Amino acid sequence: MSDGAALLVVERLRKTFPVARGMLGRRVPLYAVSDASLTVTRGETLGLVGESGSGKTTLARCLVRLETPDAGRVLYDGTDVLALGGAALRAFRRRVQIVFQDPSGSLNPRMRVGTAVREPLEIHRLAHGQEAEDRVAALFAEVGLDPAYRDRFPHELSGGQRQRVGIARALAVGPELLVLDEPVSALDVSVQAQVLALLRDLQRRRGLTYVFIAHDLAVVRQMATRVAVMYLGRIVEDGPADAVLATPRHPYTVALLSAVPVPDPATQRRRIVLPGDPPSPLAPPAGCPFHPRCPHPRKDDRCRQELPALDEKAPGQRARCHYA
Amino acid sequence: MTTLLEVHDLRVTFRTSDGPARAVDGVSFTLAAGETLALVGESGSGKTVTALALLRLLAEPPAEVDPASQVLFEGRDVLRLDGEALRRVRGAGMAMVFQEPMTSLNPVLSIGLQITETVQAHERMTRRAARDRAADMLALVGLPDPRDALGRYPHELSGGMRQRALLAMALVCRPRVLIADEPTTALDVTVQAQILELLADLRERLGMAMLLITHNLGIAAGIADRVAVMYGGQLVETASRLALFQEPRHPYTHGLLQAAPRLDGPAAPTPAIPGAVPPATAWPTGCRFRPRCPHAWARCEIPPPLLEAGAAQQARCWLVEQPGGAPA
Repeated sequence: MSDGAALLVVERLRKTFPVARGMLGRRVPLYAVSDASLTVTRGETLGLVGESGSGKTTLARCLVRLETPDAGRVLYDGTDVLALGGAALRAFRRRVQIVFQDPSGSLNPRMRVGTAVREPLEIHRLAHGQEAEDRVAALFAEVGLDPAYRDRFPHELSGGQRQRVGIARALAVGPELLVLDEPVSALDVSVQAQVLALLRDLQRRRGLTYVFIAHDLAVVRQMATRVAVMYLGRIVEDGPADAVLATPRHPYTVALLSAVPVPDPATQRRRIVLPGDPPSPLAPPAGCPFHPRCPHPRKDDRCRQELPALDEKAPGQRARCHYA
Repeated sequence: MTTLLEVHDLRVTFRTSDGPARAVDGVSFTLAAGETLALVGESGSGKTVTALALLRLLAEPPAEVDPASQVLFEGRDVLRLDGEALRRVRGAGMAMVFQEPMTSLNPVLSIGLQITETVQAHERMTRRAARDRAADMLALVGLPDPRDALGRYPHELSGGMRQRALLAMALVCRPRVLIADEPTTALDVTVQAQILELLADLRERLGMAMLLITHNLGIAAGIADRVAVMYGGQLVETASRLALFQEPRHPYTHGLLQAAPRLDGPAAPTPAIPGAVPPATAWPTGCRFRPRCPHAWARCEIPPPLLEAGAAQQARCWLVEQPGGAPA
């Protein structure tokens, strides 16, 4: 699918948020993303995986410049995204769009959904009047919605239909890359499969590149060509999707995969139950961020003291672990 | 095994501006002592309303429970109890944990106070004894340093720890039946694994029966003895865990199993079920799954009853009587 050209390159990205702590409101940094580097190739789907607080959404928001990172670079098609302003930034926003998890939270409840899809066309001066109406109708048809639904309000649509509106709105400006932030997490299983099929279909027809963020590994397995796993703000493993999901190297990826329930009583696998919760990103542990919960038999003082590098463990597959 | 809970023809209707919503429409099932039954369904199927009705937790109005419905707990109809008798059933009879622990805990009261309050509402006991019992329960559900946890507030605990505290509160009167409504849905998958492990362990140690409400077939496959699938306010299939997953007889169960993305087996895209769950104010006539069913035929215009489909397996589908498949 991919032709091998890097469309999006992220280099050593860091994003912290100041958080008030205690009675005096002393501000301490929350390390949302630390030293994240990744490359997205044109036409591929990168699955960005992690649990809540892992930093996957913050990283995604930095990619589309909804957040400004503290350090690091984001290169889109060779251009430094963080240096863009004015017309160049608007042009970037036509090329890269984001779709959010909960369409009822990202759509204005008092705006008809046809207007919501039409709005980006007008903001970017791509169409107006009857031409804009025709484009909206075509977008509705493309995402599998009856164009007659244009006059409805978000609450009059089902969850799956609302997410189709969210996708149509993102597609309105003709983007090349879509960041999909948990696009099917709020949907029921039977409807989830419909939206995933739509996304695959759009990717094929429009030649889209996806950054697909999800906590559901089984969904990611269906969609992604490559996978990056995040834990406590860091990428702990990345590589080809089939390799990472079939032969994970990092102990966290191993545990995460084993924890996913399998809908077949005959093949109940042994779950690796990690102790405790993910530590607070306000006080990340020293050394390897995963060491307090890590079940690896060789865990030792080195893990407690020294942050492992993201090293290649198999062709194209990297893991941030001293002993993987 | 003795039957603890018998639900007969439970019907719950809500008055809405779009007319009456028949959220639960003739649900019957039994739960034996020590047994785990998973009630599986998607949003709008009626599974949560069913659970709330069992404990009389629905506000009436807007809910209306049909006067002919029965919820027999150890032979006594919960729907006809009130006052002290109802309180006794709720404490040591049936207890419930909810999906979102943050909204079911009082944010301004300590965990310890909330649990001791629960104990004292159901049993005559000194505050000190209630506090000891609360600490024992927190230890049982795996909260580290339970004495210290008694003084903590909900926001000081992680999502997983809050769910453990809520379980402690539900279990503190040693109920015979635990009703768990999507107890892990709000949790991350590694924390979900901890809570599922804990539920299985507690069930063994306390010998209680469990009604587990979930949309996740994988969770049902891992923990249930029997599974009941809901669609459109009705049970559409009930079976033992093995039969349900290996030989589903209702097209909806089959479709759900096919649609669920999974980590075992091929990574190929999973087929969707076309359409969406209809609103409870406008269930389709005939079989409620008919508009989405790949096998629908003329007979489906008549609503099918739950038909015997095998050993301890029932499906609400005419195909059960038509082993060769639907006529063209």
